[in-house]
Amino acid sequence: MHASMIQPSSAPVAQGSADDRATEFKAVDGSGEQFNGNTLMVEAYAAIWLIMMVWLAFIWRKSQTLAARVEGLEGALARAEQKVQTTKAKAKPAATEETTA
Amino acid sequence: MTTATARKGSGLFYALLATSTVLLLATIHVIFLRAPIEARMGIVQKIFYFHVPSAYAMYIGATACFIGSVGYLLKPSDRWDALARAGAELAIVMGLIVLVTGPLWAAKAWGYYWTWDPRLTTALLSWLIYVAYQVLRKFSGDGAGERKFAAALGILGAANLPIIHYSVQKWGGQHPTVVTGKGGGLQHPDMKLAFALAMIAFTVFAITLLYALVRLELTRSRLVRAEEDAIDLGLDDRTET
Repeated sequence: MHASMIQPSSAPVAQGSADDRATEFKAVDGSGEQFNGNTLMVEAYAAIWLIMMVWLAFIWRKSQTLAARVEGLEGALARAEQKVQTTKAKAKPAATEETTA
Repeated sequence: MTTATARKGSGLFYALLATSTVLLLATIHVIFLRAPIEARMGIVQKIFYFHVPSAYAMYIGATACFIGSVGYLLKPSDRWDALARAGAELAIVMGLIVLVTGPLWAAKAWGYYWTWDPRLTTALLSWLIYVAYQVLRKFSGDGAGERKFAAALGILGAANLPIIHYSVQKWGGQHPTVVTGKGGGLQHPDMKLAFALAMIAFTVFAITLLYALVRLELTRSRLVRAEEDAIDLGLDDRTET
């Protein structure tokens, strides 16, 4: 666990207007890093990629479900077509018999 | 949708995808190789260049959800519903990035990961509303009634956005105002460049994702209609077995 995870007993509460709390980023040359800054930054960027990858997996699963439903519908249509052709084939000899008679 | 329209749509998608890829790579280059390190917080401040644009992208998703929801309530159609649903999904993913990267930055800046600060709390609440929206859509069916109920939730989610934005000014708290505060951060030109580029990159990226998600949702709706038609015409025998 991070040392910074331990929450202080009384969290400081900022006072004043929003402008009073405005933060200014001051640039310095060279390394201004402190102990765990690198770790936190790497964790943040890793989290972004992880979230994106998990989301991609969800989208892939969604498209797979759609593909399965399309296949099911295609199968049902093929069976319906076969049924129609079978009915037609059965009706044809009967019609021929009637004409002959 | 005709084949020509589908091809045109794919062309637009690939153009957006290529643009967002180039912009995101340029953003990473400027953030890590050009923008200087911040004096007090150190390298962890670089989280800012993805944290704020993610929040902005969450707003884009939430706005799309709002427009789609209002559109659906006024004139119900698959297009409005797809826009609302895609917007909510984008808001969830981008919101999750905000809620994960923010605490990691806060650990360094404030000394703890989370506090019930007004902006943090309202952002979490807004994110939970979009999660509720998706849970509703996932488990409640896809009828007109469910869609209308979800649209109302989509409008409620958007109503929370101005509260998130102004909470930091009205109710105080720990969260700083870097971008909008007078005399605030981003004084260095390379920091400004990195931030501007990140905002543009995330805008294009969010539009790309939104476009792809809307198309996916529209395809799903068309499939549902085709299945219903097949059952009505007696062509789909799957319900019989």
